[in-house]
Amino acid sequence: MFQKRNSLLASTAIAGMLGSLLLRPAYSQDISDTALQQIKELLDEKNSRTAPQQKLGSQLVYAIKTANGQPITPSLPSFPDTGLSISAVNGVLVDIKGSVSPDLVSAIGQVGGQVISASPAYGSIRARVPLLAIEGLAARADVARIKPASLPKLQRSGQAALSRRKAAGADAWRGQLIPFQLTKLLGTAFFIGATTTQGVVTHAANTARATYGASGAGVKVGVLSDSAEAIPLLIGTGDLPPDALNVADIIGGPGTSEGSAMMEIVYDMAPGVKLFFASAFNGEASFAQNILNLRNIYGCDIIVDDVTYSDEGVFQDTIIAQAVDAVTASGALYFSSAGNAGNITSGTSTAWEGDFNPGGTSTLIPGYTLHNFFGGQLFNRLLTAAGVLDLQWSDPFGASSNDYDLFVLNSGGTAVTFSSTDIQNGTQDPIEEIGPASGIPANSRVVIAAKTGAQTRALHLDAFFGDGRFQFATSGNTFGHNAGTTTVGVAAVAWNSARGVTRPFPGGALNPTEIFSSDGPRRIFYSANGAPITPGNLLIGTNGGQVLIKPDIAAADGVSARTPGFSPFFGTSAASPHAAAIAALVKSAKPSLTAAQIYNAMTSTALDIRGPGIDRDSGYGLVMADKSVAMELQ
Amino acid sequence: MMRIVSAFKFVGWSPALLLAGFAHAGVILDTGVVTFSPTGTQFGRISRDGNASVWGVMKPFPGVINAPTALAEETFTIHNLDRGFLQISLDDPAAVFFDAAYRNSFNPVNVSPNFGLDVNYLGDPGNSQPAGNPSAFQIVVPVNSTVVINVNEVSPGGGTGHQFELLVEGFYDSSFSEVPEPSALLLASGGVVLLSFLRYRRRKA
Repeated sequence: MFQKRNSLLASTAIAGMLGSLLLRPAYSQDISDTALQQIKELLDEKNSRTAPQQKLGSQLVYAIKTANGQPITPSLPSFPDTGLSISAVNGVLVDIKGSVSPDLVSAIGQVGGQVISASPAYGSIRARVPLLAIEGLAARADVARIKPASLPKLQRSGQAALSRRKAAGADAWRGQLIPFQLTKLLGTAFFIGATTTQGVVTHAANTARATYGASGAGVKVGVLSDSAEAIPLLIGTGDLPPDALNVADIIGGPGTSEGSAMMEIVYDMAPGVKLFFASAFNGEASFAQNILNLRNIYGCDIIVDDVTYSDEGVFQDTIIAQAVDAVTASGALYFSSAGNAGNITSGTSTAWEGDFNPGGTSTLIPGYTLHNFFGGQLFNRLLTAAGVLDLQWSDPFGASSNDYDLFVLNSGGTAVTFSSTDIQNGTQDPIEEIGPASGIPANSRVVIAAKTGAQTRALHLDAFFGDGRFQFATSGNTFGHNAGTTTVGVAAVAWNSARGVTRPFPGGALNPTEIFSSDGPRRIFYSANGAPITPGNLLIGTNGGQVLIKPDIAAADGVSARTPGFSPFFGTSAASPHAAAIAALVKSAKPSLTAAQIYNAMTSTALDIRGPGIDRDSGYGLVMADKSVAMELQ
Repeated sequence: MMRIVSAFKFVGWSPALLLAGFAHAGVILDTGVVTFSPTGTQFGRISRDGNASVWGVMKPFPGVINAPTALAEETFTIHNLDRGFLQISLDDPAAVFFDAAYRNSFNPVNVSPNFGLDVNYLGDPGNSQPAGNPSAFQIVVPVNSTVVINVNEVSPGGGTGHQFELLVEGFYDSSFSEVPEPSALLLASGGVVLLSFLRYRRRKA
């Protein structure tokens, strides 16, 4: 009896042990108890914020507490690197949303801040504000939100991973004039010619011009990028027309003059156009306003840009895309670089999309559930270092009431290294962002948490700067206005990808998109005004929302340009002006064409590349000038 | 053995040859896919500064790195160019080579500071196989020039057994024209007429 009892007890004990092993939460396998405790403390800190603090981005809260000598949490005294752009003179670069008025602008100055741009129309101010004055501003009734300034990125490939703005130095541009002046002094025998994009040949623009007389004459093209300091130089060398105009310069520059490199491409392809430049680097509201100004004030029929801001809406057209919608509604065509964030086809995707999948709960983080990325794994490992991580979910901008948070753990999952715990309780944007200046190391573990009560939503996680690749990655790298509803998104194909002589693109397998060119498609769940496209269905798994063919088309990159530092000019930044120029050629050949007709001419004659038919890498394919023009003249 | 190519030279004493010149393709040299066959040694190599030489810009010599490490190199010489706008492409899938162009001759020496790599320098692509695509750069030279293209390994022995394709295209202007400009055509036509008239006068005499 005793033996039987002992056997029974032993069996029960063994079964219990085995059962506990099987039922042991995956949490402890992916995230140590120490890290879970840190996450809990960070979430407790979030829930303890004062009313003004609730209006602040979490990176600002952390920095303010540290500056005040307060620990962020009992076990996390500080986050040494919040990635804030801080000037010794005026403090932190921030975006302030609210009711923009002279009173608010004055208040910013009174606390020692400096307003960089203010837009009453968009309810947005970009300013530098002393760190310890931010909370006081947030307490104002006319301030809805203050967060670190959103980061713009040029879509030129080959720049340093964490390069946010390259200061070339004002004198660099004047120095570049010297060689040309010398050649003029020596006489025309030494003139060495202007620089021409190879796209003139590969897109058969020369054929379109010679055969049909299309030149872009009568067409106004607006270009937006960071800056265009080299315009005077390029006018002097004949690489830009004498009437090329910079209507809105970068503030606090100089920039890299990528805008002039884009203008060169347009001019090479369509030498009859009139060109305008406006900066897209002075904040999102300024970018949106410049888009409108290029159309409404300067009459641009075709507009092209190569900039992305990190917090542009993924699942909804936000202010920049809305400005694009406005100008296209008035008849303009808008081209934008698709992005250089990689694609699944090449194995270079820096994005992951999927629906929130509950990974169970833990007593260590009551009130929250971690996302199960795959097979019970509660994190997505970064395979390579990243610059900025962004998480968005399918809530409307300005009205998010489902609270998700983003954490980065070390490679062993034993400690939290970075955190974003902004509050979403009904009036905020559905976004969390982590962007330390030193970047996020490879092998870090990325964790997503949902507050109890948060409804299941579609998620989008991306590494915005750098080439951060995830263990679990998907397509859908292009987002924001680059993949906007009425934007023509442009992927990149190397001009010499087919190898051999300089010749028109042959298409097909000989012309793949670049390994860094952002893929689509782009699923959106909301109209620009925040109305759900498929009410009640806000998930990917149930085919909610609407899937957009993005990018739309592809064009050349890797080309020659005269702007200093831009040869070769790689990236979708180089591709989009080629496409815009082709549109200009078509329009000049038949001015009565509508934007839709021009778009149809370009897409219906595009060379099929990548996947058969319309595909996520190149959309309709490689656009060709001769075929596009010919279609409309026959 | 140094590879020497004589480019087609337009001789304007016959209308037939005049027309033949217009049918001339832009390719001056195409090695096809070849295996690296060194013809010499250089000491150090040109710094890859990320900027390709282009028409319209006289790129300054970018400097020398890794000197005086001996690196194998192979040269291709083109004589009697009949056009001055050259585009030089190097398809090097393994990204183990770098190329540069020189006027008349390439003369590496084991003498600092630039080990002869700056002498007669015309241009370079700034990068090896950028984004996996052939590198390309552009230079402008007077007609009837001699140009030497130097292809060197970027690490000692790193080029051994590897293949590349070197392509040199020539154009009449920076717009990639493969035929002369009308003004040049007029001049050439005038020359043909004059020569023909002189020959007629001589025969009559």
